[in-house]
Amino acid sequence: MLIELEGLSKSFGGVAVLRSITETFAEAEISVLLGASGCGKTTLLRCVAGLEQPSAGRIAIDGRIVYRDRPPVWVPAERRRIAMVFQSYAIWPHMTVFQNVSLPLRAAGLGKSEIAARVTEVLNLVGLGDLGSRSATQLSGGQQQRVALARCIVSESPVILMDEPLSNLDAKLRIAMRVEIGDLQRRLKRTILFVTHDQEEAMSIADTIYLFDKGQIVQKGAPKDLYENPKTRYVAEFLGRANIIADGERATDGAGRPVVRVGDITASLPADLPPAFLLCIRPEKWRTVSPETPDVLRGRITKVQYIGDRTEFWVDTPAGVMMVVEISAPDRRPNDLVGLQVEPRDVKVLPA
Amino acid sequence: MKVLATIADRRVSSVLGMTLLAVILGVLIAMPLGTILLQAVTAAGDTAFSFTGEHVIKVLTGQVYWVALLNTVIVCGGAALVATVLGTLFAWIFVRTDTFARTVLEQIAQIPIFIPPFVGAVAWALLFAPRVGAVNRILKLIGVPFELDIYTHTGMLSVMGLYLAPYVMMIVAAAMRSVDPSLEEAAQVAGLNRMQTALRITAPLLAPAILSGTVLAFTIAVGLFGTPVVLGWSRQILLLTSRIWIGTQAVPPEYGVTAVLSVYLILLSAVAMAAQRYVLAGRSFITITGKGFRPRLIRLGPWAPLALTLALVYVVMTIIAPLLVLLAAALSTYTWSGHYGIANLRTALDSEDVWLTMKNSIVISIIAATLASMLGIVISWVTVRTRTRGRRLLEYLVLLPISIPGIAFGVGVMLVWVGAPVAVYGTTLIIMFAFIGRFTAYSVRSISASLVQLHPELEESARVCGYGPLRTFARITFPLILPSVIAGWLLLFSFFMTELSMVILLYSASNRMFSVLSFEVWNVGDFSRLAALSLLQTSIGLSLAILLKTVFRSRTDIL
Repeated sequence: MLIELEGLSKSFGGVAVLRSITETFAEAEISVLLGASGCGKTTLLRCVAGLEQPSAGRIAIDGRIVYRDRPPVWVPAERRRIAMVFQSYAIWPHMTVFQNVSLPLRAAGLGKSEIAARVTEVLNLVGLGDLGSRSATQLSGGQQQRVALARCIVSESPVILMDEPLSNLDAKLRIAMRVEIGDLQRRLKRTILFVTHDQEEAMSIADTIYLFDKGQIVQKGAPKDLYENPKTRYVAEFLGRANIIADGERATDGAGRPVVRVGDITASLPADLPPAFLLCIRPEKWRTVSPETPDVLRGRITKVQYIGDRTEFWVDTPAGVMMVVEISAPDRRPNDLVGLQVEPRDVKVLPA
Repeated sequence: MKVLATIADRRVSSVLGMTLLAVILGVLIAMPLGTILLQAVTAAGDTAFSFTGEHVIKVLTGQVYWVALLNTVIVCGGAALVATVLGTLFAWIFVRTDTFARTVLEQIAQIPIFIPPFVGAVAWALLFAPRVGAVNRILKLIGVPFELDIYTHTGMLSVMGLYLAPYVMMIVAAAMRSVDPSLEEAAQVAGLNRMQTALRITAPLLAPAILSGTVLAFTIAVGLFGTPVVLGWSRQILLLTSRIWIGTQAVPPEYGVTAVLSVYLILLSAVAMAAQRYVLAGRSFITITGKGFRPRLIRLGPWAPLALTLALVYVVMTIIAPLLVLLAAALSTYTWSGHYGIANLRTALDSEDVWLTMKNSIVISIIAATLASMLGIVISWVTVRTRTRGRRLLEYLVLLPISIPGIAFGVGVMLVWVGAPVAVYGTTLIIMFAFIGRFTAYSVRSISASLVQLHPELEESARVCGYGPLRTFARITFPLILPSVIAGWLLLFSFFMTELSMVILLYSASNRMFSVLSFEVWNVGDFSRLAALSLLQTSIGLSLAILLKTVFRSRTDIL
């Protein structure tokens, strides 16, 4: 079930929220739309759902056009054969759990016995087997989340849209549900579009991440690919943390290849170098060594935070303040002199 | 030791304070209600005190009382139904559709609340009285062979329903704004079309709010005095409230019978509320919190002009036409003489009686609204901010009169003081007692609502900074709740200025209020002068309404 967008645009009262997005979301994968609030990711999801009418473009679900500006095509939400989990879960408070979950099947006109069988099966699947007759208002946040999920998979609609489904849960439950959604997906093989602003959530659950900024997709890729090879400063800083160095000094090495020097560190530069560029080094890529070691970036520790599974500290170097993350570090103290080393391949060059 | 002493002091002062509040509410609220019950089953005469079934039997065997009960049920039930249909329709038009100017219209459509029910009835009598009503004259003029008759059950319930509709509208509109729009979206995604979504999701979600609007409208209708008397008197369609008034006018006054009839009224509203509670048991899905949603708007398309027309017709019928007909009547020498002139208006208003009663009304209303607001502040603070034992009981007691029909409460206050050894009956004090007892609830609602939203940490941080409790209240809490205090005050003031249901039982020569004067003028049938007085009353009501709406951003939701 591919979801294809072509030139999809949407503006609210003259403000462009989606700027001509052309993209294909792969079948039976979890595609995560990631971005800060207001970047357009939720609007895109709602356009796919049919809850928002785009301003221009085309949307096709499994080859069936559900929206096109011209000649105009508009399939209302109830006939798009999709399922959706809302941020607020949208559990109907005047119905029982069973009634909530069975509604998509009743809307589709299925027979009573089949409905009962399928709802029971799905409730068992999400671990709510014995709560069918419970009123929806008597559920905990996690249980509501499961009802929303059950309602979403019961219809066997091949496309599932999830709008920040985990953001109303507490931290522990959020992580647990993350794993569960991943497991469910592996079993059910649905095409899932998952909206979130939480980059860790995105990384953990996604097959492919689509990173949004100002109504456009600025980069897409597998989580590791996006993290290791950000194409812009925005991507580098949105996904994880990054030390950005603006004033690397250009030079050539012995063989005449272009390199960049940061303190006493040298890294090679790609041939197709943009005229203005930035260097990006992830904090965990630094190796901390004795300041006497040659070819290091020397500096003084200004601040140390002991987190438990890691230690984070900041080093004031000639190239600026560098953030460093170390797993099982020896005791670090402010004012310690340290030397920083980095593998040349971990120095990423970004356009300025 | 000093610390221990302080703790003991605090406990003593808190017990003293609660006792004082309990005494005040006991005298103002519990005693009137208790006296009604007592008077219904005790023999008249202030020397011997004995139980008797005579009043109950008289009412149960008297045909006129059964007719009054039946009339009350028909007229008030019908009025509640009309109010529910109109109120829900307008809430939907203003909140859920893209009707032109809907936000402004929603505010305007709340204004009929500020038109005194008595005045509204007078205006409608001027418009639709058989033969002489302005509209009927016009109908005859253009050759329409039938006429509308306001002096009927249908006429009465229509007028009452029209003026009660805003109450239902406000409740339902608030509910519509607190329904999470994704509940409807989820239904659509699940495969329901718009109509199915409306029937299976939206309607059941709003049903509790609509029902409580109906019950509120019914309770208010049951306690109304002015409207049913003005519209029902000429054909003697008498309601329980009219019978209560007749009972107090009898010589000697039939206090026992009025008490039994008041119990009827209280029972009627209690039955309505019990029915509501029974139907809604565990089904109140919408908690109206500060959190508002922006509901999805329905594009009306070709129906848009119809919705706009309906809203405009409503505004014309409840506000503009009544005002115009009152103005026309006030300007003419006697009703529809054809001679108009500002002089008539001047003569009508230029009498000592007018200014004396007006002065009484203003003084009583200002004092009563101020005292009720002060009591409201204290009770709100105790119930919201403290854990004092008994605060729930206090809150229950102060909110109880909301569900007691106005005239019944008036009967209770009258019965408490009519034979009392202290001279309260016949003074302005008794009217103030009645006002404060019955209406402090609105002040409490207004202030509690804003106190709940005021985070206790604002007060706590002032305490930590070194302010004592009194200074904290004076410098932090009070300034922050002041808008709601003022809004509540204005609302009470506007109610008091036009209150008739209780005042009609409690006034005497020395404490006549303006609303009483209007009623007397109606009684002698001088409709031209009545129109002038009504116009004056309405303009006061409307200016207060506009003040509330514009300066204080509509806190009418506390009704």
